[in-house]
Parts: sequence; structure tokens; C-alpha cells
Amino acid sequence: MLNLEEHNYNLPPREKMHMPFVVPDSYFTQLPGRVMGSVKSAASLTVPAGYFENLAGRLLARINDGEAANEIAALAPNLQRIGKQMPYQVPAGYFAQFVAKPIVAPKKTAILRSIQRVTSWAVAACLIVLLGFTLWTFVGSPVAGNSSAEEAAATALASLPDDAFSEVADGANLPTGNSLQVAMGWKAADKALENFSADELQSYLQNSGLEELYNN
Amino acid sequence: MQHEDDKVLLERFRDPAQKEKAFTAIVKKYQEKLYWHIRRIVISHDDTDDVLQNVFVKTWGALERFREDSRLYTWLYKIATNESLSFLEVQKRKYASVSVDDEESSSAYAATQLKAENNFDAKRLEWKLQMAIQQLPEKQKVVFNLRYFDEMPYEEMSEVLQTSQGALKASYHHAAKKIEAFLLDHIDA
Repeated sequence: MLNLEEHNYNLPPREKMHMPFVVPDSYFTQLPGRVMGSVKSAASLTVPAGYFENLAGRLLARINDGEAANEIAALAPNLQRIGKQMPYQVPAGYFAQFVAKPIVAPKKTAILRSIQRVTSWAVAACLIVLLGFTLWTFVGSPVAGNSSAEEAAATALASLPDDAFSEVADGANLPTGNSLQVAMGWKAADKALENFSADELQSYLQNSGLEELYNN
Repeated sequence: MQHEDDKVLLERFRDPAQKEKAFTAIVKKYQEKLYWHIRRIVISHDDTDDVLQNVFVKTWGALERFREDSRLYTWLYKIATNESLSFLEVQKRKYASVSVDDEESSSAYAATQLKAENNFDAKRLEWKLQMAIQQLPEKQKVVFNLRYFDEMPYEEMSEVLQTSQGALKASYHHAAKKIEAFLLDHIDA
């Protein structure tokens, strides 16, 4: 370390030392004010929202810009020459009008939601009632209304010999009014069934499985 | 037109007082890009309009649950792609009822749609390009459109199509080669 006293330098007293640098007049008096001005100015600078979050993305976009064009030029040069012109037409003003379209589902009020909930249950109940009525009409009703007649028909048909059925099933004698009278046994069945309407008879045949026999 | 940043739009959308205005801004910002993306797949304007509306209606419903794991832009493209392909699948199935082969019916359906366009002209190069694109399998068609027309980076395309970047590059290269070959075959036709 340099010791000036050892080297016997004759330095003037510190207060008499002359500084060769010049400081502008009132520099130090104005300095605090100028510093504060700079601080305030720096604080008022703004950066657009999301600037730093999007910076990397924007840089990548610049880097990627032209990458696809270079790729297709190398890959399929004939294709690149065609360009990107779209031949499709769009109705005039389509995009301007698109936003104006009511594409958002209308808001449902609490009352409307309750009505819709009740309505859906009511529709379900109606469907169940309708289904029950249909079943009762087409399946249950003839059995209940003509049970004695049906029992008589069943008894009469049961008394027929097996070959009487097979004769009908062979297709030679379809169950018309005349064919039913071919055998004596059919007479009793015919008599028992005469009170049946065509629909009721059809229903009975379906339920008893006889229709399948005829169809086969 | 200067569009708002997606993050700002999403913040505004989450504010009930600004929700509808923010949504309208999102629609304005993306309608044209999504329209062309859909139209290149389904071809007809009316079908595109239906699909585009479905996309935005679904967006309205799902935007509140959007957690920004992906970018809004790629998320919208994903919805649009799925909606377009689903729509096309239904149309193809209807068309396939009169045709035996599925791939054949797909190309035939696309060809019918192209020819139904008012200004269709098979001699014009841009229509030939569209015809060539319609020969591609659906997924490859989407990859080609996104890269060729939208110049979408593979990284973003990977988010949209949930496929690796390597597979997308391979798919694009195959598609470009097939299209070039088709065009060379049909250039004087």
C-alpha cells in the first residue's frame, strides 16, 4: 500500500486543494428536484396489458412467420405456386351480421325453469297414463270383457283333434268361415266365437299363440 | 381491426357486467378464422354457418370452465375441428346409405358439395386444389388446411388435434405430396 508520508510528498492542506472539475451553478441545489422529477416520470410509464406475457408468443410468431411457406416450397414446390386463394364465396355482409345473430341461448328465469321442470314431469305422467290405457285397450280389455266367451272358445278349440289344427296349418284350409265348418269340432268353436268381433278374435289368436300356428 | 388480448377478454367475460360484450368481442375476433377453418372441411356455406354457430354456442357454455391450460385460440380451433368432423360424419353416414364403400362415399360426398358451389369451375387451379384436398382422409385434410392455409405452428396444431408434433409433420408431408401428385395428374384435365 502506498504511504504518501513515507515518500515525503508535500501535499497542500485538504481545504486548499483545487479541483479541476467544474460543476454547473446551483447544480446541487437543483439535483433533488430533478431526481424526483425522473422518479415520477419513470412511474408514469405504462406497459400495455399482457405485454410481457405475450412477448414470447409474439417473438415466436415472427420466427414462425415464413416457416410454413419455406416448408411447402421445399416439400411441394408446385403446390406453393398455386397460393392460398379460396374459391368459395361468402354472402355479402355475412361476417358483419354474424355477431348480431342471437347465438346465445336466452336466459331462463327462475319461474321459467320451474315451469319447465313441472312440464317435463307432467309430460312423463301423461305418457305413462297413455301407455297404460293402450295396454288396457289392446291387451287387457278383451280378456276382461269377454272372459266367459273366450273360455268357451278355448274349451271348444281344446276339444278339437290335433289333425284338425295341422290341416289348417298346412295351408289347404285357412280359417275362413267355411273351413271352420269342415270338421264337426270346428262347429262348436265357431259357435263360441261368433260373438267375437274380428279385432277381438285377432287379439285372442295373438294371445293364445294360435295365430303363430296359422302363420307357420 | 385491433382486437383485444385474449387474457383481457377472458377477464372481462368472467365479470357478469361485461360478459356479453366480452363474448361479442371474442366472436368478432375469431369468427372469420374459424369460419374458413370450418368451411374448408364442410364446404357448403350454410353448413359452415350452422357449425360456426354451434361452436360459439358451445363456447359460451364452456368458457366459464375454461382454465387457460391452453390458449383460447387453440381451444376454439379444437371445438371448431371437433364440431366440423362430427357434422361431416353425420352427413357422410346419410350419404353412405346409398353407397357401399365408406371412403368412396366420403370423397363422393365432398365432390358433390364442391360441384354444388355456385362458382365451381373444375378448370381453375384453386378449385383443383380444393378437389385434391378432398381426396385426403379427414384428419390429414385438417392437418393440411391448418398448416397450408392458416400457417399454424406444429406446436399449436398439436394442442388443437391432440397429436404429437412428429406425427403432424409426417401427416402434412404425406398430404402435400399426395396433393401435388393429384394436381400434376389433373393439371391438363
